[in-house]
Amino acid sequence: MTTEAAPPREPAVSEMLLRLDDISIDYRSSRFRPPHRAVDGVSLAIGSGETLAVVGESGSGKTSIAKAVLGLVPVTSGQIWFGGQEISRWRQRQRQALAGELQIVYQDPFRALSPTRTVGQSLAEPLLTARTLGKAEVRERVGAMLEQVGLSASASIKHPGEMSGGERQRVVIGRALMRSPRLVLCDEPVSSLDVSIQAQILNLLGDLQQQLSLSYLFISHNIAVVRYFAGRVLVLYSGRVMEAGPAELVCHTPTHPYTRTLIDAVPDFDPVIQSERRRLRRTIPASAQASVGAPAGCVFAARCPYVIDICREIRPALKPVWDGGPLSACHRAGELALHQESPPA
Amino acid sequence: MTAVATRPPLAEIRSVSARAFARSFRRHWLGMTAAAFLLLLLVACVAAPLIAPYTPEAEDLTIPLAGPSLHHLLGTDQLGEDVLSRLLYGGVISLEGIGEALGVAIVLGVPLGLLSAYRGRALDAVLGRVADLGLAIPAIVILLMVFALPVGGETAAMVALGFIYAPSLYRIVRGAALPLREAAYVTNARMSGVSTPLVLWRHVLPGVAGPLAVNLSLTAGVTLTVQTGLNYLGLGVSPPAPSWGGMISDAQSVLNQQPWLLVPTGLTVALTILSFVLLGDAVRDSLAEAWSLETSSVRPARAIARVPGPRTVQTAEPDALLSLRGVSISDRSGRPLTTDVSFDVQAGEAVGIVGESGCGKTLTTLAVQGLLPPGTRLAAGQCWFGGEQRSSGHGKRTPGIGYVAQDPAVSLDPCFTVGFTIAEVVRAQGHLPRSAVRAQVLELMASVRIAAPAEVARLYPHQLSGGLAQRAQIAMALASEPRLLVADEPTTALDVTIQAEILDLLRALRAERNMALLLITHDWGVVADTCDRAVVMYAGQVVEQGTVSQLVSAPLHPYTRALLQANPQRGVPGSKLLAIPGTVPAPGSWAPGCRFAPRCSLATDDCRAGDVTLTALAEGRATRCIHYSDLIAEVSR
Amino acid sequence: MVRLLLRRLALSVVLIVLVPSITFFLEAITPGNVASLLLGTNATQQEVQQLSARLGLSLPLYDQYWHWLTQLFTGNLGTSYLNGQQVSAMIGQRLPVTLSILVGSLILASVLGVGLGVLSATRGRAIARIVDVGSVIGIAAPSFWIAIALVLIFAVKLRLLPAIGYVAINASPEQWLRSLILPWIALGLGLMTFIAKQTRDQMLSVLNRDFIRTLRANGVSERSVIFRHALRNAGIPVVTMIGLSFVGALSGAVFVEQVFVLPGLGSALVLAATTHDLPVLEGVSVVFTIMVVVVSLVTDLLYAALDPRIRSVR
Repeated sequence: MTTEAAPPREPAVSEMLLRLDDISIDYRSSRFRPPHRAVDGVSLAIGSGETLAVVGESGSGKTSIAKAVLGLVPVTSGQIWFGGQEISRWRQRQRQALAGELQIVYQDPFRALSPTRTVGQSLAEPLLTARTLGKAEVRERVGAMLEQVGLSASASIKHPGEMSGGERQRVVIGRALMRSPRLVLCDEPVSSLDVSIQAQILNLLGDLQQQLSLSYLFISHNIAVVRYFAGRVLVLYSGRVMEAGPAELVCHTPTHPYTRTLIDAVPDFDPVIQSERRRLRRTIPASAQASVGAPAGCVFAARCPYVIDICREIRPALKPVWDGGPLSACHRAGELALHQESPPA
Repeated sequence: MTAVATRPPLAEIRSVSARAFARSFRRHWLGMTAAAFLLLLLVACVAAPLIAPYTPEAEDLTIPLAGPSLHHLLGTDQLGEDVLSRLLYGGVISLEGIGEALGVAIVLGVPLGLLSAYRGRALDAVLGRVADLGLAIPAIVILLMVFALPVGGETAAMVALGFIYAPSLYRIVRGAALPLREAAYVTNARMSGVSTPLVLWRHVLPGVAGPLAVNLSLTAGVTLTVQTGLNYLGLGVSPPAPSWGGMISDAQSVLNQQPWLLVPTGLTVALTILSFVLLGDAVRDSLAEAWSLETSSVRPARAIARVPGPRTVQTAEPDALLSLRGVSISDRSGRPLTTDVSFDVQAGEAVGIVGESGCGKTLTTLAVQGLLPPGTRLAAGQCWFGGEQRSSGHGKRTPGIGYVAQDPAVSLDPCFTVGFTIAEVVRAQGHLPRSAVRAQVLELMASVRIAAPAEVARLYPHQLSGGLAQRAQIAMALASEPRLLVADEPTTALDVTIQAEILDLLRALRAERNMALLLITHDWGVVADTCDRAVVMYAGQVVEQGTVSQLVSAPLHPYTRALLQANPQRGVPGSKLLAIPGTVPAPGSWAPGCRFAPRCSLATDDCRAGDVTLTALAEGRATRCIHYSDLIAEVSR
Repeated sequence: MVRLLLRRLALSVVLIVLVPSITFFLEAITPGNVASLLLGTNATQQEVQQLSARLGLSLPLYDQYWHWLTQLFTGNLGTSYLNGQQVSAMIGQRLPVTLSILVGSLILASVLGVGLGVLSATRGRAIARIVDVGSVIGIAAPSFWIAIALVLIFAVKLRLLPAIGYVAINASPEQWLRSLILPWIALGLGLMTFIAKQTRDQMLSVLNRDFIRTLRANGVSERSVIFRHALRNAGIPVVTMIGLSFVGALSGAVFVEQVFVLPGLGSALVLAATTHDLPVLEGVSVVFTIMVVVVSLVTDLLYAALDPRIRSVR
């Protein structure tokens, strides 16, 4: 979360904690078929203390990006820079050195914790593996972390099975923070939680960010959460970046038709506002089944209500709509009047 | 919610903590008895030299084939040898054999299975082929081969048996370990730098131990059968040494003279195998129970509080299409799962049931349809549909109601094409002649805006995208020309742009068919988009109802208000969200009084004193909060 | 799908050659001479050598193996050490007996087992209890013990059915049937209870699934729900399990043939084991392996027929 003072901008090259340069990721399902391009030329950058959200629906490639950053999936082309080092080709052993700096909070709290080990053991594991502290100190740190994430220190002897979903997610967050990382990758951290618990966890993540100067790479499909929580946002569709810029700007006044579609699709819970939005919403054709191979032009062309011929032939470059403004991958970015109305402040 | 007592397949059992397992296992008296019997048997056989009344080869030709007597508790065989003693000594051989076979199988199968799951493609492919071959080899042939050759002997045969079991053990271990490899907590450990052996030991092996134990127990039973059989054939143990199989063979030869001899050995063998099987089953059931307890998002309550909850007046709304009054659903042990649920749905109206997980919204709609799952029952209250009172909520389905479930991927039979399944529902209505069914199916599919109905009808559910599958499900629900469509979280599993399409579809269908809609959701946006009125549920109760505008602009229950305020849509970037402290109480741990009180900022002692009734404020407007006037005051400020 | 079958066929051929080869492998790794086993401990060195030469056992092992292998592909399975009979001829005589036992008990067990399983999953507690208890007994008691008990009751005490012996079907169909009833029960009981339990477990599991609830909720008849939808989905794993249990059924058949003294391949196998008659052992193992392979192929085809998801996997 940022202060209201200045709109967040792309950090300068020297400040960057994590940078992805033109990343592409291909998956091969079998020898006989062409590979499926899950991520196509995505670049992003996160500075210290800020939150960058990557938002998209299923098939957008956001999960693949998360896996690539963690080294779980090989990168077909492009580079990943973390803390000044290029890590895209690093093998597991080298990556273990990053564990102190780069951590992850998972979506499903039920599967993120080992069911047979106590909460205390799960929290202690990262520190014990790093072998930097003695057992007594580790125990103290575990107790302190439990309190910091809003649980009591006595929870350390419980098994995950004895805790509720929200409590488990707090443990998962605590475990990620044990070694004081600089960047935490949050993969849909609140998507499987009830709304009332979501708010608690989002507040916790925000508090921790301020207390510990953390950066977040926040992956989500929920644009309302992203608009609230993130400083800057990257909108993905079918593996490509459609739009990127400050979260409030992009989510209130989008410059790309896909972002507009995404925002329009999220229903507002005031029925009067919602029926008005529905009236103004342009219906788009249903998504076709995935076609083989990457299309020549814009990947959203088949569904875009503003499509013109050039969209189908030439892939639009991601460029600023105005000087210092958000980036948009649309041939008609500057000319479209997409901001009919905005969600209530 | 409450699960039926079924046996999940071994493949679905994941790891549980030892504590949870022990707690579960202690309740399986059959398994405990089996374990006790096996332990007793082991001790008795090992202590045979101490406790057997005779040596196994002590002949007494004066009393051959004697029945049970004081001197020979189980009688004697044709050479006057004491049956009981021979049984005890023979047991040692059998148990040794089991140990050898299982030992070899474990040493081969477990490490290879773990490595195969972890060390990547090449090894896995090779071992997989080898295991496939191994599993297809007829075991009896190998065993008899062993005896035919100079290598032959009891131990060699048991070792060979171990080799024969190893592939199946390998498969089980690999099958259990493979999904764990992708489990978040395993990747996390690996990324943190935990070494592979330690990861396998700490995180993977406990997950594998469960299915392994079940399988080993069953295998022990099979081993005993095989081993006894080989001895019966005269292979492995030569007389006069005692063996259970040999004793059965002896018994067969004197079947005419002394049929009793068949009983003691046969019974012992049968009981031992039985114990192994029962033990395996009990371990599997305990694991499954412990696992399902651990994965439910609401913690199970220890004490079962029989709080019936307040009642409202039992008169049905005369013109409503659907009326619920005081519906309370409880599980088998009497623990209430919902209490005093009342609301109406008018013809053509769309009503949303909003709440978080565990509030009872799904159960309520299942009761409406007469489809309560086994293990639950309608404890109180009535339900009227189309003017007729529904009796028990069970058994007979209510006609005139269509149902759409949450995840179309699991709500359509994977073995049949979509067209066939829809056709079946059409046929079940009984109105149309067979020739017209196909046309009706295509028409239904077109009405849910499926672009190429004939082609889609030929597809199987797994070949459809989420949106398409959900449309197919809706088409199926429409086949019965329902007056009310019940949709349980119909868009939760879908992308948001697809969700918008489906909600548009539902709205259009309502208008075209004047169909009422009962929509269950946790998403207020969906309610605002689709519903006219909404019922808010919390912890098994209705806490507020009204039109959606009323609920959103002037909520009269602190829970509704808090839920709306906690929504990120209203969040101000940079400031905290107004989160609700605490967690939802689980069924059975509901205290008397207002169930939201522990988390409520307006709570007073009155709230906790006694049950709060649902106060009707106007037509279709009600709240279960005694401080609602404070909330009215807040809104008007 | 086709690739799956081709792969299975290739493995099958490997298997059919592999299993009897294990004899040679075991021979290679163990000390001692088969010829001396055949003659017993009192034989002289000279007698052993003579017998070895006559039986071709003095040749190096890989020569013996190669010879056997090439002969195998021409259909010649050698001659018995015991009585000099052609192994293939003996198999021809005994195969119908074993097939009668196996096929008969498998069919009975499958039909009754599935029926009982469905009944106990859909009717009341009583049948479920019976199936539970029965399945436990069926699994617990070894088939040969059940066989002996059956002989005791039906042959010895009640004198209803013959205790031993086999009558070929062309000689007298009625006698053939009577000679097989007890063996079928002995072998089939365990199988039937196993199948019943698996069917019941799978049916209960499937009936709990979401798509069943959706079907019921939308008005599909209970009969269709159970027999068309639930049974088909439950049938998939059950078919696989029946296929896997065939190896155990072979074992059981061997024992059953011993108890009822039926002149089938099983009893030939046991005799060969006790008399160290290697050619017979190898020959019968080839036949048994072929049977297992055929059953697996049939199971695979059935599985693909039942489950459309398999068909679309390359």
